[in-house]
Amino acid sequence: MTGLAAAGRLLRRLLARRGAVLSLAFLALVGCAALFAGLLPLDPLRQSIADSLKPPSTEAWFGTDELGRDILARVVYGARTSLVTAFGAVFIAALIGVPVGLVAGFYGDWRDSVLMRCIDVLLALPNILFAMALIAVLGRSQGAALVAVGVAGIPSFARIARAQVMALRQLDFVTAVRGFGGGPGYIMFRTILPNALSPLVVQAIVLASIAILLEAALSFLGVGVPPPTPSWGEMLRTGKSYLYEAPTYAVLPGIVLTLTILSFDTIGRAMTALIDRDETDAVRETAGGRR
Amino acid sequence: MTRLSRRQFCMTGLALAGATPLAANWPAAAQQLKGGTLRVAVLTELANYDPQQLSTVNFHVIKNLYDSLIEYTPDGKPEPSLATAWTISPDKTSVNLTLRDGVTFHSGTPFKSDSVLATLQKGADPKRGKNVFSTMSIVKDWSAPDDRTVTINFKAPVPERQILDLLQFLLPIDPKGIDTVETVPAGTGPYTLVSRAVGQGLRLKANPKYWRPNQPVTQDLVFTVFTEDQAATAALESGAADIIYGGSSRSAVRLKGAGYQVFAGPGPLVQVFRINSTRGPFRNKSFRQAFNYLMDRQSILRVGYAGMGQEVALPWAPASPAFDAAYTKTYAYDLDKAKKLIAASGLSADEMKGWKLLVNGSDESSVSISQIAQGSLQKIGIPVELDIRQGAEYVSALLGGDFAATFGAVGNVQKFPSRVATNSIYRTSQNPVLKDPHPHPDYVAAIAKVDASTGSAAEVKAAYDNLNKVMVEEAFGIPTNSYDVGLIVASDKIGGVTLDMDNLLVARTIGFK
Amino acid sequence: MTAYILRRLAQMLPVLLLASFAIFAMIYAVPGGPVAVIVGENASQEEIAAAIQRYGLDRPMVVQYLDWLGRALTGDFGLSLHSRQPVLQLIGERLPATAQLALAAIIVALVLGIPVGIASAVKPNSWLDRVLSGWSALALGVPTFWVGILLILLFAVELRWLPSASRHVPFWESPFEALRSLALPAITLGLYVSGILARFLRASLIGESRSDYVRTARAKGVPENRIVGLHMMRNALLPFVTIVGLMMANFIGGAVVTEAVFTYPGLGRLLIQAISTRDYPLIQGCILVILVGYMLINLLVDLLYAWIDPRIEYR
Repeated sequence: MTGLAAAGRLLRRLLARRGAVLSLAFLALVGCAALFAGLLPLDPLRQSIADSLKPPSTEAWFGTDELGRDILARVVYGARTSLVTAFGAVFIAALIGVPVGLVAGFYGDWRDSVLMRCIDVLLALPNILFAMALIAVLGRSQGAALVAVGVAGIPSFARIARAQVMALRQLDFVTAVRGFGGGPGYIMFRTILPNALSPLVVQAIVLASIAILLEAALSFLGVGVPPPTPSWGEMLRTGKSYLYEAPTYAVLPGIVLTLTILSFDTIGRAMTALIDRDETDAVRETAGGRR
Repeated sequence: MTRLSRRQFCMTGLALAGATPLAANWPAAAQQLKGGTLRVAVLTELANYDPQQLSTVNFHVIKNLYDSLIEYTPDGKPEPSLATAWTISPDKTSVNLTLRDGVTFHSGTPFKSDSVLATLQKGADPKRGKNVFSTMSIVKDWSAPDDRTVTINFKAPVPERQILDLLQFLLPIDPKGIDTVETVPAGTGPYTLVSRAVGQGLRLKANPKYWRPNQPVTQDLVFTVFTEDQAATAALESGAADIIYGGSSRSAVRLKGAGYQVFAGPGPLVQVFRINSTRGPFRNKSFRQAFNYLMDRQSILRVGYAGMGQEVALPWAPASPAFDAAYTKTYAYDLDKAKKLIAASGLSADEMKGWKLLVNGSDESSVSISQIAQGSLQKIGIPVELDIRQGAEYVSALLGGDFAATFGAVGNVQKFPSRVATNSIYRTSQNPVLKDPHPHPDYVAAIAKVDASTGSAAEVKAAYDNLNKVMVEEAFGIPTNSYDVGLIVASDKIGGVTLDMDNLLVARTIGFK
Repeated sequence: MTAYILRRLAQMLPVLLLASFAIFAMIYAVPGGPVAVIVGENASQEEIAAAIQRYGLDRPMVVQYLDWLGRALTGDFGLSLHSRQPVLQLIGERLPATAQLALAAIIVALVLGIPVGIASAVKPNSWLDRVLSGWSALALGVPTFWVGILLILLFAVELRWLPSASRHVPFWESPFEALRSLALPAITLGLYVSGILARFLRASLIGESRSDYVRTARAKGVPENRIVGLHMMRNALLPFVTIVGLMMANFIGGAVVTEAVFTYPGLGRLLIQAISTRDYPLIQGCILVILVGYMLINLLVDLLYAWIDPRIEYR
């Protein structure tokens, strides 16, 4: 498969970049924390009010919060909240955004106008406000946060998918499939989509960083994943009100959050650069291969 | 009967004594204070100018635009205000008021008995009476023999303290402006409204015709609304505000450490773990009683309110006549006792689960203390989830009684004990949570007994003790702690702070040193 | 040109109509009505019923919508349920604060973003470029609320130079106070936008530097700073204006998080407050103002396009 080979080549080239390697390593660390948090001797919910708001120490590396809970434990478990929300949101955004973009771009007629106007309305409202409104309707829960962040990500997928379809639909191999009697559905999802995959994957990574940011922002505004479930944004929110008593409370979880967002962003950008450089070649190549 | 009349005499005498030298309550200090512009940072957006809507959001404005018929000193003694004297009939079924002469409303209308009548009428109207309405339930009718006298008749004999509470709760409204009082203030108060910028603040200026001599001290009173405590604190620290009114206990503790003055009034709120005893496991009395021991009051007070306030097991402020510190000791946090009661309930583990703890997400303290309660429940093997709701959604749930349990503060806990029934969870009829018929007839009877105890001190005390006992036994409201509402944090150049019985802001005596 | 503007304005109407109905429908799907907040938790059944009737909340949703629409078309957006003040007045009080913050943030962003963008584009892939690109990645990736917290910790808690919470002070009333109040939120927001601007400017400048006319100019021996300053900048300006415009449009309601960190009284927070109290008319008003603002700025950007680049013509 050319797609697989291309992916392998992309990964090799990615690993040649120092920033990308560091980012991948950090994300691996965060991912492991999220997956195997249960194996660590950390309890994010155990309260000990007598030890509240302690600065970092050998017992609690990141200090304790207002209920005497271990902040490090909450950061580790918070990775789970963040990543689950982010990946879920990206999945939802892709699930809705990609078909919308494909249909709009493929037909280019009234369907395009209607779908793109809807996307425009989504874009006109700042996504954070839209997400908050959606959470107000759904009630505050992790699921609601996930859906709200996901819906906010729909427009970017739709736009990229649309642009890809418009670029690809006139190419020879698409016309050829159409000539063989391939229906619109087949052409869109079996012919065009596989060839438009790489920019969409890059978009997914970029969106993951935005989703983590948005989830944290929602929690910061007090409408995200409800406590006592640990969430980075929620920790910054509570930490902010203890700036005088425990300055590290808001600072340390913020570092982890920032590094996670930066890592996703760095990888996304590195991939964009690599793909951009040989996009034209790649399209020509795959198109040729098919033919 | 002689005893009663003697008391009666004392009462009137006290009223008259207070009436003559007005500055008596604010000695020398008032003269030394300088005027100017008093800048107050507040944390709530005013709802309206109706003095009968005594909700905390209006606390900073009411006593500056209006005057009460009578006032209380911080230790609960009545003092004259717009009423210069009040005489309670020996059978305690009516009170006769003498109104102050020479007072005018902001509009220029002279203050006469017609305004008191109009105010009483508004208060007795279920649609317009707001927070005064429930207090008016003891009133049968009223009349005004002349411009300076008003007589209020009661349906039955009423305890003295309850009559005084009513008078203190009545703030005469200009009859000409009573229909528009929500949008246009219509009082006799020390300040008049200059302008309001919704969401930002309010500007008042001294009422030149104010009847209390030498008051208000400052010529201008400017309120700035801060939506967050931290913002108000910053304003005080940077010198952009002279006073914070209604800030959090935690900031007050920090600012006190930094050399600011902190004033806490006699009318705190009491945080109550409210239980909907018509639902699930909460129908079981023994299960409910376990919650008396399940509240880690010390931690709740520390985390939620920075230790400012008192641990309480009954819904009374220390100033309340029914306050009883012994209960706090008896019902101290004790998981073993709680476990025993839970075992005695006979409920299965499954029956005890499956409810959610409703949380007011707009209130940071509620979120923290709910997590503490959740932790305690977890320790005795009852896992519950938090159902966090913001603003309107939370209040809707309260109004509809649509919850299993939730933390919510109750007020009127420093006044006549049956006034606690003005809070929804403690209401004796039409209780939105417990519904009708009231599932705790013993409690309803205990409140009625308090209301009917007009006799000896021993009788009154017995009625209070009975109420206290019934409250912890029925256990549909588990008080955890009192905490300060309407806290005043002032820079060191501010003097003359007067504490109000309800912790409302009284700015007229405040000035600059 | 005028015809074009009129047509664009006319196109806004159906979108606004659709949006207003969608908002109305959505508001009614949200649990918890405005009455609870108006009457308070200790209200009696009578008070609740009276309030529902007084505010006309017992009528069917469509009737309420049409009633609202009828008035809105005459410019009357009604009274806020909570404060009983005209919605337009409430918004009018917040709009200057929002505009002032947006402007200040854009200035910060331009001051930081343009030099960084140009400097990194002059020698792509040099060490300077890498450092500066890293800087813009950082500006973009760091959550604004965390930057805000760090700034508060440094300038308000530690150094005590600036207030930890801002209020709106009109610039012409007291420039010093206004700057003091604006400094932290404007830096927080501006830092983020400067990342976007720098990254964008770098990309479009590099694109220009590969174009034929630049090569020709270089071949002719035109000094490099003249090439960058005159030729490349002019062409790179076009997409740049779009981005700045988009950012401005987004600030109208989208600076909520920054507003929350610094408790700044902007339009976004007004909307959040309105949502929290279910203040229906105020929610409608805020969202429509945000939408109109967004579309007007977009139109303005398009017109600016034509002015910068005469080749573009709108019909």
